[in-house]
Amino acid sequence: MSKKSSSSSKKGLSDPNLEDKRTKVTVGNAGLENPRGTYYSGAYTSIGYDNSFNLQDFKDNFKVKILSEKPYELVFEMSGIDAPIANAFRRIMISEIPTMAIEKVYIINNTSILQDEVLAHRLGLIPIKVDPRKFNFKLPNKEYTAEDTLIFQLKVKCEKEDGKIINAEALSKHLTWMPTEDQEEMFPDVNDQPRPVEGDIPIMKLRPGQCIDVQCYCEKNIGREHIKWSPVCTASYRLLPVITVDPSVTGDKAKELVNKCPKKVFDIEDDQVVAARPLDCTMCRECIREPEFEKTVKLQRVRDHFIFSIESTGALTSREIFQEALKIFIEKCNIVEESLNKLL
Amino acid sequence: MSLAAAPNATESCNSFIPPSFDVNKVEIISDRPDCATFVFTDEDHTLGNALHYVLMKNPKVDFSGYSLPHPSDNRMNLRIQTKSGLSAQDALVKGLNDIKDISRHVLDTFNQAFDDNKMQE
Repeated sequence: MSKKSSSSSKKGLSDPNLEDKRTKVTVGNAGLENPRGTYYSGAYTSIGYDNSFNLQDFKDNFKVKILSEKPYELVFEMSGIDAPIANAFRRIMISEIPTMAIEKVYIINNTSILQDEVLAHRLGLIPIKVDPRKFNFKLPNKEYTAEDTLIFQLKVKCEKEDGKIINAEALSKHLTWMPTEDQEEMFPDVNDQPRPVEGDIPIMKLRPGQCIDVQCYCEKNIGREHIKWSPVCTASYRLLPVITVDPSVTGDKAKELVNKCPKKVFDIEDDQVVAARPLDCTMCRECIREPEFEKTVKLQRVRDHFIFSIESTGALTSREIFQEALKIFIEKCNIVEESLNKLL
Repeated sequence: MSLAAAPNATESCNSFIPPSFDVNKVEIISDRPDCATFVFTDEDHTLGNALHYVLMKNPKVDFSGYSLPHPSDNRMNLRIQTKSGLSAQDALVKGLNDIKDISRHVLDTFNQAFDDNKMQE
């Protein structure tokens, strides 16, 4: 394999069965077939496919398509990339992108019925809207500085006034930012100032006479340490479904198959069943449950086509989260390389 | 508003060490140039599986495999055996560069996809 095979011979169709195994995961009644990909460089030499890594081939095949974008939810397709790399992106998004979250809570007064430690835990889970890239990691056993710590104060007292109860609920909007030193200059725009993402998250219900008076210290950290630092609600991917129906399915049989699908994936065109909306398929396998259809309907997923969905907690937008993940992945490699160079 | 004193060492339970170039990330166990076990500190499947994948795709790599010996241990072992005169360390460096190339291209294509989307609207 001294010379790279050209892209035309990369197509490797001399054995359709092996080609199918290489590119797709098959879903059957009994379970999955070939769920694990084979990445050894010489694995598909027999069908004339060069499985080794080549940057140019990767660039030619790699595609991204945005399916939908809302500020906090992004869905996009990524094809031409293998699971280990796509999975690394997903893992980094969940557990290695830093954000700010409340870490230390100094309790001055807490007469609510929630115990101090439970209150501190609840406060920690509130997503804070602030750009974490403006801050440093707080180093262990070092003093707090304005560059690594944000302070919020929560001072709520429930009282009865003219028969009306005020402050019956301590909400996240009651958390007020207390800028230290030159922190106000870090956020010249009022809209950028640190605050909880949502103002209506209940922290605790109060009765007249009860009060909460605490000071919360936010620190920067990553989701691997505690999930409160994870910038995403969910970051997940699924593989693109491909459903092929044998042309022999026609007439009443075709109608039966169309009606079987709870997600209405199939349409009838020219008396033939076609999978018109494969993206809606949930792989429920209802269409292949009956033995006669199991032979005619082929349920598969494309091994290297990922549909990512990234739902953000609000500190960063979903788009920024993916961009950050890639930068962090590159940075991780740099750190390893640097460390290797030192050993030589 | 002034800052309170930082809690004592015993009160701080975080194990995460912020990334820096000073820490010794990798240790090499090897007595031959063409095979080596690399012991990574504070790494997991994210880098382990990705490296295993790009290394397997290198025709000069005979074998690569990784393991996490224990979930509460912050170490990851990566074993590399090479052929055709490539040293295990060079293979690892090439693997890291391949991952970086992939990530850079993904980032460019991702940003491009947004620009294309905007043009259409």
